[in-house]
Amino acid sequence: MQADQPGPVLEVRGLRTVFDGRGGRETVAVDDASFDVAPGQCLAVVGESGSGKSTLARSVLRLVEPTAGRVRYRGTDLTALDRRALRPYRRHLQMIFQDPYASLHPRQSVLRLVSEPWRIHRDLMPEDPCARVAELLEQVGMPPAVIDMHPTQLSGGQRQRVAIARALGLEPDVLVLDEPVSALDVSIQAQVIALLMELQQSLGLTYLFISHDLALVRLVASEVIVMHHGVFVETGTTERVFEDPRDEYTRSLLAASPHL
Amino acid sequence: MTTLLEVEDLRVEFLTDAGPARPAVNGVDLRLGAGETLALLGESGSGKSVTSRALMGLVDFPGVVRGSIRFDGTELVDAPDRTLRRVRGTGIGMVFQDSLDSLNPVYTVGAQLTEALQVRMGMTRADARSRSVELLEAVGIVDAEQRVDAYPHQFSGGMRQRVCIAMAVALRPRLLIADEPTTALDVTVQAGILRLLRGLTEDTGMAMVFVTHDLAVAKQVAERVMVMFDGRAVEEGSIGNVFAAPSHPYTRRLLSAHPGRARHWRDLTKGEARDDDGEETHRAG
Repeated sequence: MQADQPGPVLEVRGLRTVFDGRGGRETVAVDDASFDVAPGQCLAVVGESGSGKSTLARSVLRLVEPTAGRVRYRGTDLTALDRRALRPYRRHLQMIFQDPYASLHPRQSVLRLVSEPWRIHRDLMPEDPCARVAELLEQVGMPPAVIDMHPTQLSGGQRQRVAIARALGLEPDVLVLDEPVSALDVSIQAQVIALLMELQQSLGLTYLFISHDLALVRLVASEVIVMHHGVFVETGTTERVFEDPRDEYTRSLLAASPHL
Repeated sequence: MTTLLEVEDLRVEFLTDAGPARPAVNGVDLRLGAGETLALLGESGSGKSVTSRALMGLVDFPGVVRGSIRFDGTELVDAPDRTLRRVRGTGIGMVFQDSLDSLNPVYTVGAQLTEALQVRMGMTRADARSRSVELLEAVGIVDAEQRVDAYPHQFSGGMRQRVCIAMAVALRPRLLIADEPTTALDVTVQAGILRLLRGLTEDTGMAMVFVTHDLAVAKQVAERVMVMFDGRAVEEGSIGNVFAAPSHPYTRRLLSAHPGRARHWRDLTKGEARDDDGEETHRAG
């Protein structure tokens, strides 16, 4: 299923997500979003709070139901599937959230947290789940001893590594990373970014990387989408957007980012 | 330059049932002249915020502060509440990261500003109100005349932080302690707040201790930096010098981990001696 097919991994066309507000007022969080993500690519979506970047990520995965538009994953229209038919596709598209304190159940052990998804995707259940979890932990740079620990005993960076291990356990094709290192200290952020980029290369993963941090995006993404008020104001290769921003808002965003 | 703030051998410990924990601040010295801005730079657990709270006398039991903090010649460690109340506001103002927590939700921002001005500066109600409007204008709030009667929740995060700054500088403090004041804000909003703070220090001669985890932000507001790690000041100097030629390995690591410096993501971890325990030492708060 992976990498051997030509064409984009994700094809998004005219995606629109509208939230109903009080008194019949509607908020258009994402308006007419169209883009492709090529296999093995890291595409970044940047914007400030309220730009719609997180809603876009969630809409692509149908964690939020889009109001209109299509999302094709390797040719299959995910938006046309009912929730039951969608289920087998979920493992291919995994999400890593910003806050590993909120995304991991505090009372469960690392073993349980990493092996839990196999209860739903039963065909992926390894013969020896314990050994497979240890393997996954090694892959994300964690010692086997953490297998019996709880998230409360782990640091923020370690928790994010556990969240990554859990996603990897489903042998995904695409990772949607929603501000994956924003809650971490800069030295820990550096380690987690290095891990994510190494995994992308070794496993041939495709990344949709949501971030507000332009300096970081510049290092990890090959292409960038700049969002503002739910709309794509600029798209292009990372180099072009950073060296020669054409949109007024992109320029103001770049100018406002503090330089070192 | 006259010394405004002089801290010697500052130590802060938090007592636990099992006795004192590892000190949060472990022997910090610092000096700040009038009108100077110092960035207190560090990651979570470095002791930078506890240091700034100690400067304001805001470390409560079970925290224990030792050493000496002299503000304009007045010793603040173990000082009676009366002394602290006198120093706070007119001597030292403070701005925190979370502006929503710092403002009272049931009073208009005008009521909160005028109260301070009436009580501390002895202004009449009318004078305090017009001064409040001036202050809001000074921090860049448009339609200040109308906005003075708005409640905190009616402001955006960035505007609310401006209100907090207006409150902190209302009593014309000689020192402002700003603890991660822009961390929760978008970059375009942050840029405005940083410009505002810089302008205030330049125009009024107010000194500032700016606590931050962000090296690039530190560089924008301060001329001096003190890098903290594990409760200690590991390096201090002019920002230009420290960032150009860091002498402590931790500072080097912090600088190389910043994406603004790297040309490739592999550069981010170059400063590391790949110690896997490293992460244990800065447990995210």
